[in-house]
Amino acid sequence: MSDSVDLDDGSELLDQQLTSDRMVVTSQWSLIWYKFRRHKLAMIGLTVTLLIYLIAATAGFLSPSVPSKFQPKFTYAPPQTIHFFKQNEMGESEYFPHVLGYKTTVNPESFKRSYVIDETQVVPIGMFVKGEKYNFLGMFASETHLFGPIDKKHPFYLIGADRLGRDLLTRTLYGARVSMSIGLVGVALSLVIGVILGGVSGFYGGIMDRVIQRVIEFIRSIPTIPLWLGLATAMPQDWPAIWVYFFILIILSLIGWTEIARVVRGRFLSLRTEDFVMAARLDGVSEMRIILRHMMPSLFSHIIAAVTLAIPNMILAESALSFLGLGLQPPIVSWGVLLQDTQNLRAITQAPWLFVPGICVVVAVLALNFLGDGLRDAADPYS
Amino acid sequence: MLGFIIKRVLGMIPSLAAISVLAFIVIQLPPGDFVTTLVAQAAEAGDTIDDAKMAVLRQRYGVGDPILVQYFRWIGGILQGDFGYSFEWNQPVSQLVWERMGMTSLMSFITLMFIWAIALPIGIYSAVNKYSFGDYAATLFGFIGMATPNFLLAIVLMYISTIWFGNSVGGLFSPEYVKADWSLAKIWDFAKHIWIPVLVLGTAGTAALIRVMRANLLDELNKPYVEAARAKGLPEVKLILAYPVRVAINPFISTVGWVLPTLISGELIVSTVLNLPTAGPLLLQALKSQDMFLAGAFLLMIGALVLIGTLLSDILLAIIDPRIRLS
Amino acid sequence: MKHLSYLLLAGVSAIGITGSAYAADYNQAPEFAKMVEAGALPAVAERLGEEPLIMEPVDEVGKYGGLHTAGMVGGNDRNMLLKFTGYEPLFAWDRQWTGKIIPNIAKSYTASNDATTYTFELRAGMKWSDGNEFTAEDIAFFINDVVSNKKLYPSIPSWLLVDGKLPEVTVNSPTSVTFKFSKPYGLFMKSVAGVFGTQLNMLSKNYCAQFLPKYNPKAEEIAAAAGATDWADHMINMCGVEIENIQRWRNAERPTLEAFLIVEPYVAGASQVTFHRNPYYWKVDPAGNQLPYLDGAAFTINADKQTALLAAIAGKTTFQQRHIATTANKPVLFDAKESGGIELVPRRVLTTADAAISINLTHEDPVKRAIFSNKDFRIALSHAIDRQAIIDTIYLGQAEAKQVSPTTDSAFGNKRLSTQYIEYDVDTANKMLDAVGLDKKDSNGMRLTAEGKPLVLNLMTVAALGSQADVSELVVQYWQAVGVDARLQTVDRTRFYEVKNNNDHDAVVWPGGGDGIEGYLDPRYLMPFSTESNYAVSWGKYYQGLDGGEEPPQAIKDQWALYEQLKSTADEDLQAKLWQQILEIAADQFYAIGVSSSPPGYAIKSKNLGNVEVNSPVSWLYPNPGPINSAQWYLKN
Repeated sequence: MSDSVDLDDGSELLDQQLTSDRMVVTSQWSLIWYKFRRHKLAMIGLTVTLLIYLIAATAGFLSPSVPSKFQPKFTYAPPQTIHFFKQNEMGESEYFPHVLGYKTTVNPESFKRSYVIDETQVVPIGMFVKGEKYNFLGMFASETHLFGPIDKKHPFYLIGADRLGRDLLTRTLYGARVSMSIGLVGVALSLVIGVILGGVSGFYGGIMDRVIQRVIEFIRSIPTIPLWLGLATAMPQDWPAIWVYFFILIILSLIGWTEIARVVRGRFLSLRTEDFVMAARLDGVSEMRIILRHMMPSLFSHIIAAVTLAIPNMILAESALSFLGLGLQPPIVSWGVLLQDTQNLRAITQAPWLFVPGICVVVAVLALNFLGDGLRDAADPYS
Repeated sequence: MLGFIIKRVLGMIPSLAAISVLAFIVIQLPPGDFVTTLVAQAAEAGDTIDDAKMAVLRQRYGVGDPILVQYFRWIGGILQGDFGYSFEWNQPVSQLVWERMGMTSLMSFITLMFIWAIALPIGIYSAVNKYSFGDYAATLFGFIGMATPNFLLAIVLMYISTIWFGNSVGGLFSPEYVKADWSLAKIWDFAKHIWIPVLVLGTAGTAALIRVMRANLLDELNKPYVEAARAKGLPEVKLILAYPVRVAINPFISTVGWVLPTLISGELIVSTVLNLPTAGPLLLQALKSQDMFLAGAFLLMIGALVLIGTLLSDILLAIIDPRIRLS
Repeated sequence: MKHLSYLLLAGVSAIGITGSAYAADYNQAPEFAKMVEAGALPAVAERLGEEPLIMEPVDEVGKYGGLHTAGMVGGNDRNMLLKFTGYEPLFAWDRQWTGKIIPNIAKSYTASNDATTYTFELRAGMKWSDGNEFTAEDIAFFINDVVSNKKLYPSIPSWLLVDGKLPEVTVNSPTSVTFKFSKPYGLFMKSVAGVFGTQLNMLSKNYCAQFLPKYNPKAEEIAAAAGATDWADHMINMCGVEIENIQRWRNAERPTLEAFLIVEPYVAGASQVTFHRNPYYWKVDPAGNQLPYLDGAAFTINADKQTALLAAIAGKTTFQQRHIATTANKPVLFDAKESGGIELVPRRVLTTADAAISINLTHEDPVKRAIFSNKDFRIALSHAIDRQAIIDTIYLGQAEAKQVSPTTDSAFGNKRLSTQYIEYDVDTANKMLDAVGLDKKDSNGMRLTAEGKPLVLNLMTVAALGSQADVSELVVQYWQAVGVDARLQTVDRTRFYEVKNNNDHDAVVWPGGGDGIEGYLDPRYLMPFSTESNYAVSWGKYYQGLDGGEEPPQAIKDQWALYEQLKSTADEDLQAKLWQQILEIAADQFYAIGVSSSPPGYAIKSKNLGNVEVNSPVSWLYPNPGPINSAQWYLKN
């Protein structure tokens, strides 16, 4: 397989070649890509996943505000709609992107601020506007936001505001950072444990294999939430937010590794007896090199699939832990933390937009699952 | 068959022991102890608990001993049916775990049946009509159920059930039926309440099983005997149900072992939101307030429940498929 | 000894003419009438005794029937039951908590001039719920045999101790009992009326003595047979013993003087706790109807507050304030007024501040201690907070900017303490911070200590608190704006207490208690008083004589001396004068930073529920609705 022809644009060529019905030799990756592309849902999943990670990375720039910015007069402000045209004095329609401000009244009896859209109050919005200061990609400070109100003091709540008058859109975009990265970093940890233990188990077999298999079986038989809860309550809560974040990561990956280990072991077991491994062994190649150079590449696609399927579980777990008050806590902004606000009946009855981060969780988990599913199907291109 | 069962039951013992150690570690991990919680509560009420009283409390609750001593005292007690004492409730743990665990088991069982009832036909349909619109729709439906955080769905459904349908809030029974004997009316009342948790937990679990069923059946459908039967003119429905489905259902049953832990995990959250009289809310509360013996008992029992569930599915499998017994 | 007698009429003129003359006119609940007819219960006049308390209803004479329903949360919510039916002290607070005390179990009392000796006159023929007579012996039993027993009470409640000693209790007659303290105790009657005072008459000697080895040589055997570890354990299980023990809500057999008797006990696994009316309850309305009007009560046990809230919205709650009547829930409940058939009735919230920010003056780290205990540093941080913006955001403008201080319009308040340093003034804040030696800044604009090290101020709060947690989130931003690197730390309640009681905190936010009379009994925010004085836990420990205490500066000791004087005198004018002196020192010291008063409180009341006192206060020492007399509540339909 190492002497196969590399085709840069494998898929298109492959299409032609297949239709011309010639014998071809093509790389494993091209074959995987070819197979993967046929899986429509997986392609959608891939696109959405990439998009979400892109959003997470550039959240500061994409958001109209910053997550901690609160506005006293706009607590629980409902979503606004963007209007692109405005009638000028002549009665003609002209391009003038804006949102309409609110007329607010405070009802002391119901303890509620009620909002009416105020047609007279036009809040001009624009692209690349100056707003609150943020750190772009953690590298340099910037004040430019992709879009937002021209004057940062004006209300601009595309999907509404939370209980402190903070922009939910901004918070949701920032939340993607923590929620999506917790999956990614957590899985990286699981991956390390999973590949090592799975590899050892599959490569050496025997007593090592049996012991590791029993451990995996055991871990998989434990309901995860109680275990996570137990571990989360053990966390010293005077830790700084970032430590808490990593602690949660470790907790989540403690269980995530078993599936990866299972996949790796299975592949190792079947590869062990393959001819090319045998050949390498007879050539006197070291075990380490056999594993890294010869077996790993053919494992790679399977691992990627397993990893992709593990991420959504971590995202869901993070939100569940935060919901129970045992995961991340404010001022960290994650989807789970944002969803703590929906625990209140007030969210259902008066501020349903607070469920938006929940929709984000659903979309992200769906996308990653379809992606992983497609990858798993495509991982074995020869089947 | 008996030999098989005995072998499997004996095999559970080391797992149970491991679970007990793990449960004990989990409840021991948090710094501080229940006495701190008591102090916090007393202080909030404007009272102070002095050091002398704290020492008395620690002695009464047996915290402060070396950890191994505590473990063996705990596990020794459990072997004699004594699960220790709940600090928060001031009563023996064994008085309260059984009823709650019973409800948890019942709910897990009903949910499992629900999941099977949904996943089986959808899985068959998806496999037979591979890559059709229906296949995609079913997959999507299953995955959306899985991707929706349980707690969100639970809150919304509870609100709808209470406000729109006028059901009593949360719980598994209306107040008037809580202490009543089982009757048709009580079962109906139970049904009016159980659908929310079953639906929430069920939707979260079906996706995986639909995939398993679909994949298994696809493997079978490609086998030569199916082709042969089809060539002989067997009606399609009969052909699929008579052989491939029966074979594909075996691995389906064996998934109980890992569906059950997921169900129970979800149950913990859903029960807390819906205020169900199951193990979940008590366990969560016990973990939070470091009521260690109560938390430990629940963790142990939940582990045992999973093991028993797996055992039952193995036995069921052995009955259906004799090859398993023999190997 | 010269006695100063108080003539107590309790505002009810009819009280003098109670007695057997009117016995024939007493009415009772229909169920009891039937039982009397069947011979299962003595006649109502006999059950009431010779001198039942005649209770003026809040609005009108009610009618019998119906249940009170509300929702409890979790396994530690026993005080919700205590507040509903457990408040039966010898003398009680009035319905508005003016500070006046009115007769309850005792019909009158006399106190000696030097405030050391108190004699209570009890009601003749008054009975426990099992039909046995309640006498002075029951009170003496508690002091002599229960509270002084180390196995039952490892430590004696401090409100019963003067100079470390329990009072001497003398039984003068079955209806007269005298407490004699070794030193003057001017606040004794206020403690009796406070929630802890109910302790004195909680145990029936006739019933509970059987569990004590002193009275029953077989006590240990009985305990062993019941599966208890020892007699004390068994006695606690059967009698409750302490007002806050969960066990008192379990044993349906236990005799009590309360209006309602437990039916379904408060045990783990239970989904509800229910009560039924006490046939021997000793209060009647002016028409001679035996109280309570309600048949009983049913409390659901919820895993989470939201289900209790949902029950209220769905109209399944008759009255509730605890857990659900928060500012965050107010719009939801307001909208449910029609559908749920409920009203939101105002409640007075007694706080010295809705959120009290306590910066640790006794910090373990000498650098931080020097900075935090610098009054100018705290003044600067106080000026850095835009209180109006916070009030607009969190309280919808319905609170008043103020420091941690008793409400000014009461006799307990102090204007200077309440209003100093509350202006939002960033310039002054910055200047003052520069002046206290925090003029160097790092690249992010955060101030460095004089040694050039970063100064981080962790502001710890509990997420479950609600508005206080929100306040913390905003305060952190205001402090960062003046270059103080404040960081929000959200923890759970147990952790919160562990950290701060170990004196490991920088700063914490917690509700500011101790307004009104409560301040007299627990001035936690006005002087270092206990571990609840979050700004100086070490000094609080010193005052309480706990381990880890640290001797405070002289000004604080002066404050303590004034307080000791206040406690020992019964002269209310002198008390008020001393109180103002204490507040002046508090203003000089500027212990904690306040943000605002609390927004208006409320409770949820079913439209169907009658005789509910409105605008009554909420406080631990005023266990509402106990003092507003849930026994005279009734359902209109």
